[in-house]
This record gives sequence, C-alpha cells and structure tokens, in this order.
Amino acid sequence: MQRARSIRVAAFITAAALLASACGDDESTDDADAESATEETVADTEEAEATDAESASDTTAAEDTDAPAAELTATVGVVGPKSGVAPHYFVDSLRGFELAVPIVEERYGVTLEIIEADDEGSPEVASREVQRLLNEEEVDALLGPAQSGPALQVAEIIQRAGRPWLLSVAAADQILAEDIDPNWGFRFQNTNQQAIDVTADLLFEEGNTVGIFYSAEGYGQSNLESMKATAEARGQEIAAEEGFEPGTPDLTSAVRRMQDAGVNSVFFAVSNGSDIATLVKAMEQVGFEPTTKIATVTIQNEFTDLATPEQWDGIQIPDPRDLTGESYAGLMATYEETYGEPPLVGAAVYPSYSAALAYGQAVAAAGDATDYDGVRLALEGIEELDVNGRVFESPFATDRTIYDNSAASWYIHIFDENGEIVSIGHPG
Amino acid sequence: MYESVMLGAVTGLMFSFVALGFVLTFITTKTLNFALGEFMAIAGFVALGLASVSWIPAVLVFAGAIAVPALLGGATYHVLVRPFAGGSGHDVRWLLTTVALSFVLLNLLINGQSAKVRVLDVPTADGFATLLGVTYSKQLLVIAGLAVVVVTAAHLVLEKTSVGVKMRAVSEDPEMASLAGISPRAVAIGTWIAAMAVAGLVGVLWSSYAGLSPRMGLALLIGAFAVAVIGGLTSVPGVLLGGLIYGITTYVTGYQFGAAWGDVAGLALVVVVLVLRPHGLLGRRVEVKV
Repeated sequence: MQRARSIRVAAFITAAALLASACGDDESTDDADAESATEETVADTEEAEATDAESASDTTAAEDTDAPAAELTATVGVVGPKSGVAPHYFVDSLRGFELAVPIVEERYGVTLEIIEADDEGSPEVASREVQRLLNEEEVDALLGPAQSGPALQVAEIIQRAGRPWLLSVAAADQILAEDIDPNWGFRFQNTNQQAIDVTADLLFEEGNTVGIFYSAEGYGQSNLESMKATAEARGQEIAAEEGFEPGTPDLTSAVRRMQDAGVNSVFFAVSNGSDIATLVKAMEQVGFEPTTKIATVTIQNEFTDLATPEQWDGIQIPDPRDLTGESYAGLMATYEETYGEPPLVGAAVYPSYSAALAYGQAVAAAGDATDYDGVRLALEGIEELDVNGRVFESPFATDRTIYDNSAASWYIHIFDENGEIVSIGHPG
Repeated sequence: MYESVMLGAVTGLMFSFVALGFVLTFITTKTLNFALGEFMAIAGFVALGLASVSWIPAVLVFAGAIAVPALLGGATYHVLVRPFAGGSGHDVRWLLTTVALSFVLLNLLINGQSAKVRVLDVPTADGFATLLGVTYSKQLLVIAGLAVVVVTAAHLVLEKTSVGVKMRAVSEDPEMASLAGISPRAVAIGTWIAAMAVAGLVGVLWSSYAGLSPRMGLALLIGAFAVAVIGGLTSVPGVLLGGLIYGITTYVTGYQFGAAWGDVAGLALVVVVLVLRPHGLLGRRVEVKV
C-alpha cells in the first residue's frame, strides 16, 4: 500500500514536471536556435552595395597593408557551444576561422593562434570562459560566442576589457550598441533586424495576408517579435502566427489554422530545415498553397533531403550573400574538401572566415596584435576586405556591421527542381 | 472537428507504438527505460549503415535495425537496471541509471554522427491517402496500423500463451514464480529485449519519414510517456486507448487554440488522470508487500 502511494506521488511529480516543460522552452535549445537564427537569419548586405561584385582579387587587401614584412602572431579565443545541444555552431565557426588562417599568414604575415573555449550554449558559462580567455589566456581578440544569448551576456565584459571582438554568427541586434565609443565589436553577419526588413518587404507585397510559422525557441520567437514590431511600424498586420516545439511530429493542426485565417503569404521563422520540411509536408497534406513563402537561410540545413520538389517550389530565401557565388559557394566547397564533409551551418562558416581575414589585415596594419587600440582603429579603417573574391569596401567605416541596410543589395534564392540553391537576383 | 479527431487519432496511435516500449518493461520488471528515445535513434543509425550496403535487402536492414537495440536492451537491463532495482520495489536507482544512459548515448551519437538530420533510405509509403474524407500521410497510416497490430499481438501473447503466463507470474510475485521454476531474470531480460525491439521498429519507421538524428526520439518520448500513463503502465491495451485520447486531445486543442496549447492540454490530461485514477485508465493498482 505504501508503495502504491509512493508510485502515485512519483507519477504525479513526473507529470507535473512534464506539464511544466511543455509550458516553457528549453533554455539551451533556445540559445542554439537563437544563434542559428542569428547566424542564418537573412542578412542585409552592405558589402554587396559596397562592391557586390565578387571580384576575385586576392591581392587587394594585401596591397593595402604592405604586409608580410614582419612575422606577427595573434592569439584569438574562439567561443561557442562545443558541447550542448548545438555543437555544430561551434564547429562551423571554428572551422570557418581555421580555413582563413593560412591565407592570413600568406597575405599579411600574421600567424593566428586559436584557443578554444566551450560556453556550453549557456550565458553564464560564456561569461566565465570569456573572462578566463581575457585574464588567464590573455588572448588578443575574441571570436564569438556563436549564439546570441551568450553573446549578449559577455558584451559588456568585452567592451570593458577593450579587446577586438569579432562577432560571427550571433545576430541579435542588442548585442552591439552602435553608439559606444570606443566600440570593440565588429559584426561579420547581418543583424536580425536587417533580415526582417528585407523579409517584410517580400511578405507584405500587394496587400498580402501574412502569417508566421515560428519555432518556439530563441530564434523563432525573436524573429516573430521583430516581424511583429516591423509590421506595426509599417502599419501592417500579421493575420496569424503559429508556434510549435522543434521536432513536433505532426504540424497539420498549425497549418490548418493558418489556412483557415486566409493567409496567402507565409514566413517560416524556423531554426532548422527539418521542421520546415514537416511544415511543407503538412501544407501539401491539407492543400494549403500560399502564393508567397519566405524562409531564412536556416532552411539550407537538411531541408531538401526531407522534402520534395513540389513542397519546396516557390520558397524564397533572402540573404545578403549570393549563396551560389564563388565567394560563398566556393568557400563551402573548400570546407568540404578540407574536412571531408559539408558544413552543417554554412552561414556560420562564412562570417568566421571573413572575421579572420579582417582581423589579420588589421593586425598587420597595426604592427602588433597587443596594440589593441591600433588593431581596433585598423579594423574600422579597412578600405577593402577581400573575402574569397568578394570585396567589401570600407565595411566598418560608418557602422559595426559588415553588411549595410540596403535591401536592394540582398539576394533572393530559390531551390531548383534538384534541390540546389539558385540565386534569382535582388528584391524587387 | 471530424477531421481533427481523425488526424489526432492517427498521431495518437503512433505515440501508442512508442508507449508499448514503456509498458512492456513496466509490466514485468516495474522499471522503465528513459533512454528509449536514444534506442530508437540507434535503430535508425543501424538501418542507415546497413542501407548503405547495396546488396543487403530491405528486410535485413529492418531486422538488423531491430536486433541491435533489442540486444542492447537486454544488456541494459542486466547491467544498468537489475542491479539498481533491488528486490523490495523501493529501490528506484534504475531511474537514474537509465536517465544517465540516455545522456551518454545522446552524446555518443552526436559526437559520432553529428547532430545533422539525415535521410534514411528504406522502403516507405510516400505521399498521402484520403480515407473517409480525411487526407493522411501514408507513412503515418502505416505506423498507426502497425501499432494496432503489434499492440494487439503483445496483448494476446501476454494473455493467451505460456510465455505470457510466465511474464504475469513474474510480474505478480517473482519469488513465487521462481519457486515454480520460472526464471524471473530470463523473463525480465526477454521482456526488455522485446520492448527495445518495438522501439527499434518505430525508430526506423519514424526516421524514414521525418528524418534521422540523434535527438529524433525526444520529440516522441514525452508524448509516449503521457500515453503510457494515461492508458495505465500495467496495461498493454491501455496504450491504444491512451494514444487515442492523448492524440485527439492534443490535436483538437492545437487546432482550436494553437499547437503549443495542444501539447499543454495533453500533459494536463496526464495530471488529471493521475489525480483521478493514478494507475491509469486500464491499469491495475500495484500493491507492494512491505
């Protein structure tokens, strides 16, 4: 009898815990998604405007800094969720940086040494690890954290410490305030708001009735909130919003609700391609065919493996980079050749690679990696940054983000019948 | 409403299939495998490996994918559950060891296979089918149909065969069963093997539809546990009833108020059942000698 009672109590506690877990998000998942969101959110392109052309001059930046004169060494702390639910963000940030190391050495005569730090996807751990890197390892610069939550947590610490801070994937707008002086942060990814602005232009075309599917974690929710704020600021309305837990097996109920709301323009604010695949399957199942379908670059992960050409037909993916151009696609090919597998988060590779090149160039210009002010000023003064053939002109002359706010410089992509990404030009 | 009920029923039956893995072990050993989701993923990865060998027929891919988690299940019971379950029924350290096993397996899978979602290329039922005015995914229909067949078969084995008699005897009183010449340990290991074989089968069927990743089982696990609790952890037919009630509740609520509320409603239902009928709708009260 006593055991029956104890089983009953244990079962009740278990059920209550399950109920509680259903009501909230998993923090770590949140973070992971947030980063992914960040990292892969559609970005806006300032560099494209800057050059847009993928000119391919490999020597431009080197010429700027008449570099390889002296051998310089810089130590960079790379921070990300090495363990936890989203290790691929750390792996691809790190690998993107690593791919640039030999190029930096050759172009600028700067040897980049990497010290890895695992923030476990946790803001608290990120804070501890960043302080260790700054105070014990005495790194000359920091790359990461890869996720927005941890990056937000360490922003003040790094600004106080006064070391160059290279932000790769994390895209939350709040991470970097533009009005700090001196400002040690440099973004190599678009911000969430830049992505939302471009996406909103597409979604609200011609008086569309707009709905948003969002994953119930950091990435999806931050995109939802940003889109709602943007719509409100523009005097437009979002007719329906449907959230769901990542990995939900069946989403037909959410799709039917969207259909019932009369939505004909859909935004997938979802942090991974497999959940978007579940959504488009459900859309085909219930016969929901919106005329406009917008996804972020997060859809690249695994989506076309799990969906069919009929299901991905018409989905548009805005991004500040031409995902099919040599600069981006070529880098992804190099990644695959080097590591024997394609990147899981290509959108984390490119910004980290860009950051390493910019930092190496700045160290060469400053002449000493420990001259932190000199390196910061050199980063701000970069006139041309050549990223695998794409040249960014004066990327940090007016703000802290490599991409500018011009929607016209973004690229719109779709999937062809084979599931390959195709660029179809610029918005409008 | 009719469409929601029907779609919810099919989804619920899929959860029933997974829940059978919980119920089978609980009936005979009063233990559960909280690493069930990872066992499903292991089955998927075994199938992925076997399917990549062109000369291995699909039936052997399925057989291998079911056999590996099944054998692992037997070993898990022997090494990580039985020593921590004690004889009195008050020892629940097995709960900790199976949860720990879940974390270990998850990390091993992620480190070994990465977190990427992969395509499992085994024969599946592609596309959609319309039955009685409602359109379903064919693969989900297959999983739901198999759930009914397998649960019914398990129930018949338990009630109508000598193996079932032994299982029930061990469940009732292992000491008395032992005096009658039944080996409680063999029965328990056999049950764990059967339960993890079921988990492996669902793992392959589901991952061939939704994609394979180390975390694939997590999405199903909470729903499956809820189904097992609602139906009764000591009742095999209970998983079908629990699955239907859970599936319909979550789907109808999700359709009326949003998907997130559907999950909340399903788990609220679990709480209600536990309060009103702690042993589940079809379960029997477990009395333990003290």
